[in-house]
Amino acid sequence: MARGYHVAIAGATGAVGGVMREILEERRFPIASLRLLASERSAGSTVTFKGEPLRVEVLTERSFEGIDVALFSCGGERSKAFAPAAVRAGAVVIDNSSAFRMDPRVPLVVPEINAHALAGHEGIVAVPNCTTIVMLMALKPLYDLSRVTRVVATSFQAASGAGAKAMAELEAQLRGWAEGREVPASVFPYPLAFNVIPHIDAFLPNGYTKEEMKLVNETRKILGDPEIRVTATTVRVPVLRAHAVSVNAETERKVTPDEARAAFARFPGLLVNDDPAELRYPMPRDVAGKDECVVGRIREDESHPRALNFFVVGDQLRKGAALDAVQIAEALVERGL
Amino acid sequence: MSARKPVLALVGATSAVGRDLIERLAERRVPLERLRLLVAEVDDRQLPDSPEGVPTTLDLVSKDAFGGVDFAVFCDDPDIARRYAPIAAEAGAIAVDLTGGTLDEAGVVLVAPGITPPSAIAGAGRRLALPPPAAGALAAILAPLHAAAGVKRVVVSIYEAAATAGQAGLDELFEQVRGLLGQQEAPAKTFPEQLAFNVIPRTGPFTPDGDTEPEVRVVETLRRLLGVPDLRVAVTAARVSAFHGTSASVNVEFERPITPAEARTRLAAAPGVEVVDDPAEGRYPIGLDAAGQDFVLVGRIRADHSVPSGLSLWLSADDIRRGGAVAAVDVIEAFQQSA
Repeated sequence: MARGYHVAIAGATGAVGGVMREILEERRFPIASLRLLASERSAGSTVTFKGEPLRVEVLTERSFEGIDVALFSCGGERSKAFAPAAVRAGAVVIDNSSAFRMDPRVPLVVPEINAHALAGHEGIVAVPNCTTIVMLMALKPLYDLSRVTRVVATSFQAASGAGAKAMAELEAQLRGWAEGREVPASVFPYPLAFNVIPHIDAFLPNGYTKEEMKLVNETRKILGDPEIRVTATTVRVPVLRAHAVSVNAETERKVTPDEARAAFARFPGLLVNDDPAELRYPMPRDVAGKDECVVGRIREDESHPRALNFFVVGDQLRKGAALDAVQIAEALVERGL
Repeated sequence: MSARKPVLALVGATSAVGRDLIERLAERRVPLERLRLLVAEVDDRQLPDSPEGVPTTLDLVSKDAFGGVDFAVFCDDPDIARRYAPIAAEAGAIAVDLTGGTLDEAGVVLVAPGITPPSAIAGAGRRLALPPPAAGALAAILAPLHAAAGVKRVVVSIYEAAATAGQAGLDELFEQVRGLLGQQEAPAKTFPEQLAFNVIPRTGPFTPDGDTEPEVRVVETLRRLLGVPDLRVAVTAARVSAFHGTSASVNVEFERPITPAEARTRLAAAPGVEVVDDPAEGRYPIGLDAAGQDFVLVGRIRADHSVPSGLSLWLSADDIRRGGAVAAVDVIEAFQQSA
């Protein structure tokens, strides 16, 4: 009989932490015990797991005694502060923050794409940026048909990417709008309701945001192709929890839309919804709460001899974060951690 | 045209563009002899005040409505424009189509204030069409960059607001949001799906190639306005849950190198364009800021190192205001300047 694992979630009360709990339960991850950890502010509350009440404990360096798998989603600073302690205590850390993603010793993993990168991990595995995951779920099957040489990625990102507070802020702004009062922005740089904001994460000296450079750098690392040329513009739109990416991909050899569509349809975790005549195309609204990413609007780009346009969507909290983390845990279990 | 004040007919006067145009005529103090508001059906919404001292009438549009009219501006409905613009021109008016309905008709000249010189607008004949707003905004920023470094290829993603679907689109988003806040679904009618809190990657009918007509139209319009018949442009247009203010992410590949600083200088000097580009201070165009603005706002101007000579840019513009009403006033003024 399969053994059970002692699992901890650091950041258990956050938007991603909550979905991690749901997904562990849904997918029947073999759990011997679950320890929920959060900052002092959120600790002490009680949540339900598999019908049992569980108390949320304060995250400290000593939280990881006896833990096999520690899922982290509590921000980069806390990951940096506490992940090493978890590793010393013998846990494998699966970190949803950007703290370790570009560390050459840390595998950056989308299990459908590069589970092989888990081999030889040194205790920390990173979950990629949510928009990067959603884009790559469609880019990878195309890449396998023909190397992709250049990508222009433009995102339509939901509030959830900035956490539970951000989702609440968008909802409050909409309620305020309906009641004729203004709700000021605090999580986002400007009010998000009825707006489009081309600014996610901090600006860098080169004029790009950190979010945009995550798409560039993480794509290279996950595909194992340091030469792939990626340019990104990341944009927040008034959507609650699913991201969309408009992708223009140039390939080494010409790939037809039909060929790409067939490859997309075969790829695990990706569905094709692409029938313009029937008004079928992917939308954030259709994937909220779903595990699969969905791709459509697959068409030849006539402005280039070998390029395709497509539009891919995915639930930010699930495949973009919590699901990817739990899938990594499953892959680690399969390999004996 | 003589220096006498013109008679202006607004066809579709109660549409979002028509209403904004009435306000702009007053604000810009465009000298008018008379204002003739024409509608396809009577609407019980209150119209904006007409410009002070300008006698104004409201009538149903008909083929006899254009006698004595100098300019007939078609604001809203492409079918109405196709039907009545030739009649207006025949009756002696200059027909100015903001609807896109007559863009491809023989004898119709595409003009874009800020790109087409006023003298060329005034000399373009009796049938004029303005670019679809998104294409007009893109052309406003691409034309000066093309002059500087030669545009080779453009990849664009457009974030279109409800306003480009007209008053019906605005009303539908309004009802959907109110419905969702009250936990009840408001049905989609103007849009194919629920737009509230969603993104719909379709802003018009599909072509057999899988593009949408508005996407193809952006490509064709940019080629005409930049005068490059084989300009290479890839467009994806999606509708977002916003009322006003369409934005676009633009990646441009150039023939010759151009730095972000040079692009900023060129854009700052371009008519109808305002550079908003100071990320350190949190300044860049956002959809809400563009709403109600006469200018195309452009920012996030940075080098795109994925091609040898590339720039990434971001723009926001108000389709109704900048793309429709202001452009129409600019056309009328171009005639008056050249008179």
